[in-house]
Amino acid sequence: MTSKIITIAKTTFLNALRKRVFQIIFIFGVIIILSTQFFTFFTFGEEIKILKDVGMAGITFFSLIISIVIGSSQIQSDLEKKTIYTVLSCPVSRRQYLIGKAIGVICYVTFAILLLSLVFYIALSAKTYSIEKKVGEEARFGFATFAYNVELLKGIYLIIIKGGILVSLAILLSMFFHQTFNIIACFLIYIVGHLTQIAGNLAESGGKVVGLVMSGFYYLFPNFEFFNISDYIAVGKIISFRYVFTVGAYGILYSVMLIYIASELFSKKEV
Amino acid sequence: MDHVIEIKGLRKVYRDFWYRPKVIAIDRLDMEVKKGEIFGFLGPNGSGKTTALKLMLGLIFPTSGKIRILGKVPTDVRIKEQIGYMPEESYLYGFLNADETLDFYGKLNGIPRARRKERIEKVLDIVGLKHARKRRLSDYSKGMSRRISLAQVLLKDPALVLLDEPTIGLDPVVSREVKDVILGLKSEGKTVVLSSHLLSEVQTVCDKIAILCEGKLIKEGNVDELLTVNGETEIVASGLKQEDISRIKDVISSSGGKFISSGHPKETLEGLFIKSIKEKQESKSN
Repeated sequence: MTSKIITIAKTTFLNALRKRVFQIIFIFGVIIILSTQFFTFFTFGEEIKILKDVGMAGITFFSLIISIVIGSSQIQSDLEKKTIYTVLSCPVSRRQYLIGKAIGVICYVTFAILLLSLVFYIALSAKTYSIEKKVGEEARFGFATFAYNVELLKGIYLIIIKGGILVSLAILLSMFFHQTFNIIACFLIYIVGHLTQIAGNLAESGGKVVGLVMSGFYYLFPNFEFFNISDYIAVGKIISFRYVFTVGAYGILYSVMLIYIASELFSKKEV
Repeated sequence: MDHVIEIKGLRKVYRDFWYRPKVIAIDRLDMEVKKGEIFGFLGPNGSGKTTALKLMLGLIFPTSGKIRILGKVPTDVRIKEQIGYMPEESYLYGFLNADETLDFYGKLNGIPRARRKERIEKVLDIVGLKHARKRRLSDYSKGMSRRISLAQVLLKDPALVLLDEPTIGLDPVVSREVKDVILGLKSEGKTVVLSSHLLSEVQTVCDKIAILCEGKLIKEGNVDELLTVNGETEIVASGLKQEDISRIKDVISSSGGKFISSGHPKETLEGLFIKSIKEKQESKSN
């Protein structure tokens, strides 16, 4: 059973990797991150802060695009091109197929985020090195940034988890919608997911009906604000491991729940 | 188990967004396919042939009625180990090459590595694609795509093979090769169900046929029996002169029969085409 899921996941990963459009998106992301090298018009502290801000925002943005676009395209493309006929005529259950697809896309998104992060880390280290050299400190390429790079790693981990939720969401919505509508719906949910804290506050302070509706919003939609720690990283704040672990577990559970609902729906879907 | 496929009172109704019946694709279909038969589904476009195959594969679900494939319901994943399906077009991943494609389907069918390797070599040989095994499927011609699709079916050595329009869009030579493979499957004791609207194709390979029209079964039976014109006799002879034919005509009329026609038997256009191509290829290689 597991080997069939892995086979589907590997092929899905390869499919995403060989798509030209995503290679272009990825190269564009690398260019954005590397362009931060040319921010030289700020003061010493600000330059690094801006670089971290732009870098993390770039990774978040490209992970958002890649997660939603690939997540919404994979099953839909198999349905439209009817490749699913040949796959499901093998001894593969619909659940195995869907889980394999989800794992393949999540692995691809993780791979893309890690690659972009590596580029970002090199850019940040190079920048730090050049600044330290300029101000006369002993330049320690890479190591100088290690302290706050642990915080960066926490941020990157949470971006990956957020990407996983978006992929799972896009896969669930592909049970109902075609790709264009799916992408729009995912973006809307992404925006709403950043506003759930407001819904939570309104649920506490509003009337009975408003409270009920807002509670529904608060618990139903993923709270993407939990994953947004870039601002803290930029100013050098330390995020506790406990927080990162709890939010990570929340994200993984949310993704598993979405995939489970999608696989239940898919087992009853005519292809 | 005598019957590989058993269908009773099968009905498939496609519904619209509001769940109102839109199309009755299959209407009360009853049929049985015995082990080792080549069974042909005939019918015009939209008659329900592909729907029937998709129901047999569990890709769609019946509105009512029963289907048993190899004694089990089509949604039972285990029976898929014994079913090979070739859809009407090559629905495979274009970004993979032939080797990767067959390896992928081999793994999905749970074929162990050593046997998979051996089977890939064998089926690539059967479909004649060894020279293009490293080329991406998106770069394949239509004929090559059909061949790799057939290779994917043969890979798992299935007991039941479902073929949807197996020779559509192929040139007569490749089409003949596909038909030879189908006949080869029969000689190995496999059961083959094929859907087609190419009547000559069905006539040459099938033992039994079912004609579908607007989802209903309008005719079913053995090909030879259905095509035999009862009450008429055909005699094929060689080396006769004109006076011999006149004497035969006299014998027929004196016996109370009616002479209908005589002439030289005609070769099929397909046969002539393949013979010409083969002669040309042989003269080129010599």
